[in-house]
Amino acid sequence: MGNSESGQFPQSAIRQLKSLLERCTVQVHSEDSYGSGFFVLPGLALTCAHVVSVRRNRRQKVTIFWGGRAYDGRLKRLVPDPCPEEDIFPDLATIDVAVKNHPCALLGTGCESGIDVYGWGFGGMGAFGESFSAKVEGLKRYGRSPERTLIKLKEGQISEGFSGAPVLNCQTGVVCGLIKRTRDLELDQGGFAIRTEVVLARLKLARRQQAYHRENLEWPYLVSQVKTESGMEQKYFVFLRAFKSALELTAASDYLPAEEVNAIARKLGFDSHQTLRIIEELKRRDLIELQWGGNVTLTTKGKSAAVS
Amino acid sequence: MAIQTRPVRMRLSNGTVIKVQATSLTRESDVSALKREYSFDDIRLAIEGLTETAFIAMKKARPTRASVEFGLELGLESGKLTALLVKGTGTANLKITLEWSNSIGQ
Repeated sequence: MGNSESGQFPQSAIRQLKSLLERCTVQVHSEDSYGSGFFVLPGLALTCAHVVSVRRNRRQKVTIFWGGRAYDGRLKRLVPDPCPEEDIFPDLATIDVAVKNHPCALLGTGCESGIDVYGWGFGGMGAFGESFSAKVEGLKRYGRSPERTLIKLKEGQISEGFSGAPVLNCQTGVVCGLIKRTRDLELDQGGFAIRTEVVLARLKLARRQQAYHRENLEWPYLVSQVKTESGMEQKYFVFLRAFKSALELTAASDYLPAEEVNAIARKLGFDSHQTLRIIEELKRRDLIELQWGGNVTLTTKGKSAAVS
Repeated sequence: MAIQTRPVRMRLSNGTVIKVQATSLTRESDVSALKREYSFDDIRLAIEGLTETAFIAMKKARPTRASVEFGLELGLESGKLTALLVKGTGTANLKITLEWSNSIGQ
């Protein structure tokens, strides 16, 4: 399958979601520590309980940095409350903050092993934010309760200050978790994230999330585009593989005449409209060249493209 | 694998705040960044406890002179500072020297 990160099969919807995710993300400063967080509902930011750590009073202040400005936030929920000093599960906190016109992340469940994830967090005091990417390795259980099961990430640098940062599932386009732990502060060993299932269940956010995203369609629209693009990516890949197989059968030739290209498309079940779109896209990506009369030649880039 | 350290703020008995490099005792950890100031009192209590224990142990031997040498490192575990007894000189964590003068037993 094509590798979206290498640029071979770029997906514009995921690119737009990454940008939208960044606009949802905030830096959270409490008395004892700082971390990251993100908007899940208008005026409501989600982070980890250990970022806030101690409830000192009912209207406890927390400072939120968003869009280059500092805002006074108020700690709404701390789970668990009181928050212990260690072994904190499910490790969630919500903060009320009077910020207007910010987007909210779409929370969704499911995070299969092997998929790419992307996030945005704040690694230092006064930082402007930075992205991170990793792969899902699986799960890690810290106890029997589902709340003590975290998503295990590998091949990513999870730095100090990333606690509470959103984790975007690049396959489905929804936020599937928030960062809690690192596997190594200095190496790109990955980390652990709290699952969205736990967030939705403990904070009872599901209905309000649905209501918000029914009214604000930007994120759901991009999710639908991710699915469409993913389907099209599959078609480009299948077509290129069939094309290369057909070329291997025609010794000493590096092009296929138009009628053979059409025959491949018919065998794969693509109609003329789809075939045209696929040919145009592969040409745009410099994987094939279209010759006079509809003959198709594989480019150097196309020859080296992995299709198995 | 390299030992990981994190800079932490520590308030001394006279109120001065210094930054010290503390050794992370676990590789896996929550990733909020700590702003809190640690008090030197916990470390002072560890030093007092160690010297007191060594003194009680040596007292029975009734040496004329005694010296104790130990190395301490600051460790960070689950957001708490702790004193680590580490190697001082050579390979010893704790080096105790006891001397008796010739007059003893004469």
